[in-house]
Amino acid sequence: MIPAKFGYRRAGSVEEALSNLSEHGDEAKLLAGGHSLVPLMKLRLATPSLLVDVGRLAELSYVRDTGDHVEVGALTCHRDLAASAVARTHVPVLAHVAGQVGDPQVRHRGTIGGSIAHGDPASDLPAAVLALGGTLVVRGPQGRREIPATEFFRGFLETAIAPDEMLTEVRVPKVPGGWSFQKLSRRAQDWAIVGVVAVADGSPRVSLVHMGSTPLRATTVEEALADGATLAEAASRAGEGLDPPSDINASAEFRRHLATVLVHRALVEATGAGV
Amino acid sequence: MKVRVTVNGAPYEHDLEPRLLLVHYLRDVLGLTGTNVGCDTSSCGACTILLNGDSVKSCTVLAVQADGAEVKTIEGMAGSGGMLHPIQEAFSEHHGLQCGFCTPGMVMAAASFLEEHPDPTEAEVREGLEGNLCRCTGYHNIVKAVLAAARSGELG
Amino acid sequence: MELTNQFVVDVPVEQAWCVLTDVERIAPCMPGAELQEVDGKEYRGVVKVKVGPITAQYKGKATFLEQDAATHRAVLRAEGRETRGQGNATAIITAILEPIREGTRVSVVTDLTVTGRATQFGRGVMADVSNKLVGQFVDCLELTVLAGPTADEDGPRTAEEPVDLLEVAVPSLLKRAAPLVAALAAIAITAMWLARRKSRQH
Repeated sequence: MIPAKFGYRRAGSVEEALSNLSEHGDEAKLLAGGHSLVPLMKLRLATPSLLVDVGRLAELSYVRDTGDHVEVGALTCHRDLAASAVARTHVPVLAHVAGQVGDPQVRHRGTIGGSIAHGDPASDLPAAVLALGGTLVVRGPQGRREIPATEFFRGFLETAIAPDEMLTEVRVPKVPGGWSFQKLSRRAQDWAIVGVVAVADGSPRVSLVHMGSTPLRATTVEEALADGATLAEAASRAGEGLDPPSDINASAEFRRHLATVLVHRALVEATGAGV
Repeated sequence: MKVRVTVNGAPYEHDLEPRLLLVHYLRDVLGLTGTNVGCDTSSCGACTILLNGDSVKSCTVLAVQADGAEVKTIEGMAGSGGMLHPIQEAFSEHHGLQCGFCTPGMVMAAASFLEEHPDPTEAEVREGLEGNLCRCTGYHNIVKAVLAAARSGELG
Repeated sequence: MELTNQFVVDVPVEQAWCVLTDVERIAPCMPGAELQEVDGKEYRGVVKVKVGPITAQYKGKATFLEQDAATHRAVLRAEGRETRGQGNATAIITAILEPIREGTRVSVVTDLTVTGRATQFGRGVMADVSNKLVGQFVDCLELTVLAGPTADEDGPRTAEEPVDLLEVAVPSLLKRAAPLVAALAAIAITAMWLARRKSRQH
């Protein structure tokens, strides 16, 4: 399949990328690894008239320890994040999730910035950043803004990034406690049918993959736990109030059931409890 | 636009449309038809090549993204005089192919995997090749071949 | 599949009915619509919908099957084809206005049938996008048409409109786009999940 015609520019800096976006508005799209955008373009679902390639901006590929946070440059590819000693030591759940995205070939190209800016509820990294209580750093003509993950994902493939802005960094707090990532898929390298990220930071934080039109915090579970429910009781409420999709892999009902099972497993693993 | 790529050690320069996929550049412009287009949706891995040493699915990379890079395809694996690469030798020895359609991608993915994991367990090989699908073999002999290549001591 | 949307406007039901069936007045509030011709009772045009990087353009037609001022019930049938071959869709849209304490509740039920690649998609995203479009429509209505007779001219508009309907010189033909747009917007969102569910993770 062949994409529709488009113009192509390689940006040598963030400023250059931003000025291209300002010039072309929402007819321009940033290209990093391309593993979310190029497939859409091959199917001609996305037809931007200009691609601004930021994939060579090495200054945005880093994993830094800043004391109580870890800062990850938006163009850090999943393979590098998974292998990063800083990430594995201080936010192991993030490194682990990065190592579970797709397959090795995808992880050689896909970036954390690309995954988060794409805003697919079935992606793993957005849910991980949400569970970690992370912050997204976005730059635009008006300057720099920091957006909490809880306010970042607005709808299916819609995020808080404006058409003339670029995500430059993902910042997550160091979380010393237990964690768990549960991802159920029928075949290797598939999207999660349902996924769960749990972080035991005081009262556990739980986020859900593919249970709605954005990555979601499992607030009913979190509230039940804060009210003193057992892990099993809290997990049994995972599907409440949610409207998960039905597709060829699973019905909404099955997804709701899966969420309760996977949340329970995630809570057990994250808290180190027996049951 | 002008794109310069080194493929299997040889430099090339062409004027290409931005929308030309890397797999189509390799097959249709350079005539290197060893790399196959399978699913065309980044699932099957038949299009796997090495881009600056890393395995990538060339059906999901634009040729312009490879500007200035080094590409290795299956045609670049054998040594001089047609001597098979140890991975190719192992696939032959251990019957790691039947129809052969997935094989170029498997070999390239295995090459990249073994570079990052020189001494893998069987489970690690299975996971390491999850980006490549095979409809014929059921994977067992592919895994045997990759393990044999790893243990052959012949990989640089 | 069935999609439901509901919104409340703070005007009495008779006024709401008059406004919502006066398509010339409400057409500028529909994001992304362009009416191209009216052939008797048939409205024909194009709707552009944007969901993140995905844009879809549906070309089609719509006709009212029912418009009952006594029961405040309108039924519209719309059919559209995505211009790049992503599929067809047909929708029967039933809108009912009921008086409530706060004003009027408008309930819209869309019975959507899709063919082609769209058949593998789930309804969750479509419901979400249709809610968003309806939300934009209602916000615009409340700021302009329903805010009072003088508010029409200079009320602020919603931000993201792939097609700009706000030009002063727009002909009345163009303004009758609203029912077509509502229908085609509901249709338009069906193709949005094509890439992901068909292929593996990226």
